Amino acid sequence: MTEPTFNADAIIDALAPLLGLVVGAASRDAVKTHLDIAARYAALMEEADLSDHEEPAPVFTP
Amino acid sequence: MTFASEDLPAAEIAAAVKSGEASAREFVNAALARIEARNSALGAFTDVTATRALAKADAIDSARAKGEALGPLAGAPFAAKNLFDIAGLPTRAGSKINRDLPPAGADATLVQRLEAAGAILVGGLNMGEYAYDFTGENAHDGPSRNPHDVNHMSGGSSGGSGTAIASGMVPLALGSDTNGSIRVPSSLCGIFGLKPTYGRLSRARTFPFVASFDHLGPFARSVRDLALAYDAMLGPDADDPALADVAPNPVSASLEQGVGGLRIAALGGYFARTGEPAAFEAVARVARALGAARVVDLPQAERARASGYLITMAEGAALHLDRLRTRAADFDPDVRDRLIAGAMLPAAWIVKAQKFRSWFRHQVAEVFKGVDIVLAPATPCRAPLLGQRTMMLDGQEMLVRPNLGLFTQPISFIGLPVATVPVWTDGEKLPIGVQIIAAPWREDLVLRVARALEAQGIVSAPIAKAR
Repeated sequence: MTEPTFNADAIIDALAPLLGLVVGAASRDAVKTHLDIAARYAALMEEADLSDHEEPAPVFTP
Repeated sequence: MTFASEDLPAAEIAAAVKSGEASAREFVNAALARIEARNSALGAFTDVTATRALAKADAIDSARAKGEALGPLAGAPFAAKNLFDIAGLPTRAGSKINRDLPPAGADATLVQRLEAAGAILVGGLNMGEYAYDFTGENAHDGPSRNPHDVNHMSGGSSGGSGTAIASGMVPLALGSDTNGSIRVPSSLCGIFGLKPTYGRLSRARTFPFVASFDHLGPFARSVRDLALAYDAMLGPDADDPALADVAPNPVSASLEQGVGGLRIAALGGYFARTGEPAAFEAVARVARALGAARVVDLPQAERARASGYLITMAEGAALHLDRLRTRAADFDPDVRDRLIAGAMLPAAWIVKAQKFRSWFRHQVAEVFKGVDIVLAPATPCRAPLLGQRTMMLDGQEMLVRPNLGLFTQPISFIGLPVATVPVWTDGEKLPIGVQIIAAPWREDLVLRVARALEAQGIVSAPIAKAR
């Protein structure tokens, strides 16, 4: 198993062309900051122990 | 000062118009005069629809003269966050880019329903760009300012709604709430706000942000006005596919039933840390007034907030991806850079976040088997200064823009109904709000509790003295 690693620069460099986005010099640090925040939240969320049968809620009726 | 120029709540305006004490035209003219006098300093309105408002007022006055029945909001001026379609105007949604859209062909459903009840639209309100905001600042139109101290934030993203109500320009406003955008400005501006259950009120002909979480609702300076507006906006609408197939539940008739028999608790854990003392003191004061000594937890609320945050980034980015490609320079940079990051999140994160949402909903449903109402802070602090980028909470430096909503986001994540009530402390010029939260579809309970607190004088929404 490979441990997940997170490198915001590598993500930007890999995905910006795929998405057709230009991340200019003025934006890069801010985008990295937001990716870092997302990665922290994702790590917390990924620790949730959910059943394979838990139904996602893309259309939600409370 | 004429009777109509006083800053009356909508219910009293309707009573005056029905009795003939004042005309709808007088009330609309008075509102237009207040907007003219106060808006340049406060930045609440981006559009004023004077011509249509006066025509609507004249139609109401004419109907009264003919002896026709008038609606429950007859003659009450209101305004709508500028992501609501207003016929004849491009729906800018706080952006520069959307101003290039053709004018809306028809009003949003909720605007139509308020006008069907006799209320009169007087304009569109400032907001954070594309609703991705908790500050009320706008890079294109300037900030909507806090009327209680114009150097402070109104809160966002429905900032203009908060400013317009707290300054007395209008008694009623509409806003949207994806992660807290009704509740945050209600807290910072010291007014009442209602975020109904997800799927309760039609979102038709409003500009979206995050389809999974987008809600619409009213702001006012009295709970009675919130209830009248909510009742007027209920009903099915084939134009909003997310609208739930549930029976309308008008709340005005039960508003004065008090809190007797209701099981009320404060939320602990996540909702009792990472805030300034004022936030928790406000909850404690409301809890004492309600005789609520219990404390309950929503399990894994921090994870709920994290999941909601990720879904917001991803859905918001997907909505705006084409504009990010073609009009990047026309975005507010603070919004653009969050959206660009959101476009780069792995799909597996988002699917798991949506699965967690289902899990969390079931857990919270269990909590509501033992309690009818839970209380939580609406914001972690009073209104920050305009332009303030970071704040210290529990010894941690945190970004202001995303974190003003840290207590609201886990609640809207699962669509619970919330009334936000304003709490004032002697010697403090700025208020702070408390969330009154119930199980899905129990808007009647959150408004009953809010009304009981208002009747006791524990919460109130005075018009700002500083203008």
